[in-house]
Amino acid sequence: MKVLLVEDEKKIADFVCTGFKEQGFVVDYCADGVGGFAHASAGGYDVIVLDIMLPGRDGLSILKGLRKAGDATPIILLTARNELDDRIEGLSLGADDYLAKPFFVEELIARVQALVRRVSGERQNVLAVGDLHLDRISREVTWCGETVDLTGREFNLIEYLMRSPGRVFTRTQILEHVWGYDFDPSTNVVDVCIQRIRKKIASIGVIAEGESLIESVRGVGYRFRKLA
Amino acid sequence: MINSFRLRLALLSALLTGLSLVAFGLGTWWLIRDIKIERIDAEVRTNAEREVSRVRSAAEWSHIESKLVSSLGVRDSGDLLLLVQDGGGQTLYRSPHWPSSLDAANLPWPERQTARTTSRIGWLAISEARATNVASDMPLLLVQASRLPEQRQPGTPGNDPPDREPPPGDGTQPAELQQRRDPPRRELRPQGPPPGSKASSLTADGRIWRIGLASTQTARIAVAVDAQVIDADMKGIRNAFLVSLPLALLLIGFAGWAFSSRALRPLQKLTTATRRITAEGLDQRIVIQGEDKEFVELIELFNSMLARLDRSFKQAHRFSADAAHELKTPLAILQGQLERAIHSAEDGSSMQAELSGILDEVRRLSTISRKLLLLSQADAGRLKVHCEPFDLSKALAELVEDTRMLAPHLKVTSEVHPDLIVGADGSLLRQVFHNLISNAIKYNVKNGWISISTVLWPQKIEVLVANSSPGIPIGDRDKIFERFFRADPAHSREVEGVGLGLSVSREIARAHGGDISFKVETEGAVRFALFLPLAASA
Repeated sequence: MKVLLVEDEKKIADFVCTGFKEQGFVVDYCADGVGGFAHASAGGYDVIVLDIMLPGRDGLSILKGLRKAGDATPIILLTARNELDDRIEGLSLGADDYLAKPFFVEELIARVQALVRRVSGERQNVLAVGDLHLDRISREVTWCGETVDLTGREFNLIEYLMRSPGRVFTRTQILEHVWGYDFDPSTNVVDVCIQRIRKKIASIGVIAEGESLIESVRGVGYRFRKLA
Repeated sequence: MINSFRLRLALLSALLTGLSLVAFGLGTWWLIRDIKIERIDAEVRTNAEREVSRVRSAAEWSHIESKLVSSLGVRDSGDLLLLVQDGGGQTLYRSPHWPSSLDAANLPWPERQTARTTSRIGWLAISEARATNVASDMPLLLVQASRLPEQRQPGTPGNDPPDREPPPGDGTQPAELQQRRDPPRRELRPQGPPPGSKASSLTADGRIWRIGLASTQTARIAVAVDAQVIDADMKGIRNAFLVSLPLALLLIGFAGWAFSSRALRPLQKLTTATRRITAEGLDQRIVIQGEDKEFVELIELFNSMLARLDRSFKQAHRFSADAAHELKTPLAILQGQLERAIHSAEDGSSMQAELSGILDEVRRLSTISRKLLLLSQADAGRLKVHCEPFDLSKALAELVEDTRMLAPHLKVTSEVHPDLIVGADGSLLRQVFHNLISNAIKYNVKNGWISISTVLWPQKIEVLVANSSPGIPIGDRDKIFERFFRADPAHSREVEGVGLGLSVSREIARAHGGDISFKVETEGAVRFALFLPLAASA
């Protein structure tokens, strides 16, 4: 999958590129608006990640230019400016999603993947790790063929962890993805939610003691157990 | 009190006009009345003088009487009296309706003039006001004036002080009235014997008569006219005045109202402009078109004040926006690099746990900067929300779920209507809900409760978040929406938060056209109510 990143802040671009590459994306990077528009117009990208404040030509103008030219490539806007105004204007100009700085790369990647799935006709809708299956469309989770009855929050949480088994997600990352950015980081809502998911899966009764699918990483967060 | 300037102005002008009209009317009324009495007196006396010198039969006198009725302008013959006596006091003619109580002998006849001697004319003029005192005052009020017909010319005012109070408008008194007060002893030129005559006022049978008396050696005559003749005229004048006064007052009142409305129009314009500025922002100006120069100055001052305010608001807003932006970029770098470092560190290592702790603080910092930016936008009147159909029922169900997870020790109840769709910015509204809930959890009691419910009104939806509470000091109740206010006085970290949540929530609610209010329901229970207008949900 090929991503174009247009971002003038070198340090941000660095860790975003690294994050995408780790997930198997091919990333092209541009530090200014004029070059960014040239790259984007050339085509061939699955997703464009566009900063709004750019030297040369700003992100909104690039977005407008691309949409005017009939280019329908999914675009995610990044901004550090006045969020509300930018979001309203960006979405009305035809952006597909919006992320305010500061953001988690993990969150950006999740959004890009969701966007690509949506555009590509949702080919990969079922996640499977061992005997646990998760259907993104019917929003159904089964464990050894039996349905696990999860609430909306619980489903979103397990889906987020299942995307990268073995990768640790901090509480803050989970909180922001599932609950939004306004939740206080010190809240224990993530832990409570994990406990409930674990209990619901365990109630089906075929999971061995100490072999929980969701592992705690002390002082940091949680990760989905990677099965060999 | 009346608090409308326009109404006060209209009433005041009506009152002043009314007072001056009444004063003017009274003055005029007295003056006219006085003149009329003078005229009647003069006429009865003149007629008495004229008729006294002839000798006629009773039938002729009757004819003279009816002639007098018309010449004196008396409407009804009953209002005129005529009495003729010969030199010996024998009645030659008396009006059939002569009042029986009026004895001819007791009339204040003037002295008879002897032929070839200096003639003196005594006549009495008495104002209506003193008519009731006639009997006792008669000798005092009798003013003797020696006069000859040719002396009855204007321009010889008396030198003596007036022997009665001057009527209103003394300076403009007709010459004849002045004449009347001529000193009594004046040298008289010898002439033919004129009749002695005078005019006077008498009361008989409850009627007041103006009576003219004339005497010669051979006869004396009395002509009397009912004073009501004047009263009828005066009544007409009074009625005209009474009718026209309220009309004039009404007219003046309306004129005052209209005039003050017109005068206040620039003020109205200022009010409208100020309202518009409140609604739309400080870049509004008042257009000057044809205002009076007093108002032009005010409007110019107002506009320049607005310009200054606008400038400083924009500066303040730009400053907050810039500051937030300048903060956000390093925060984004910090957060991104921390995220990377956490992933690179060995899972479960103390390094990873420490980095994770730092990440939490970075998140806290960015939350504060985001809220400050939002508040600065709200202050600049530029917090615009992007309203989309928002499933309120679903969001509240999630909220209930979160509340149960966040506070398993509390009893959470909910009563939310199904399928409530409002027009709102979902991400902002979720912040409000979360803030209300986290307050309800933070400031609760052991084994307490939280209740989330909705109430539908004709024009709005009310979302109620109530909870058991340890009690809020009365002094703190008004401050809870203030920025950086926390019920916890030491701002300790024991209860999380920075004290921006409620002020941000209120701004968000207001930007949606709603509001948030707080109420202590009973001792030990508090309630936040979020109103959202239904109009926005269209």
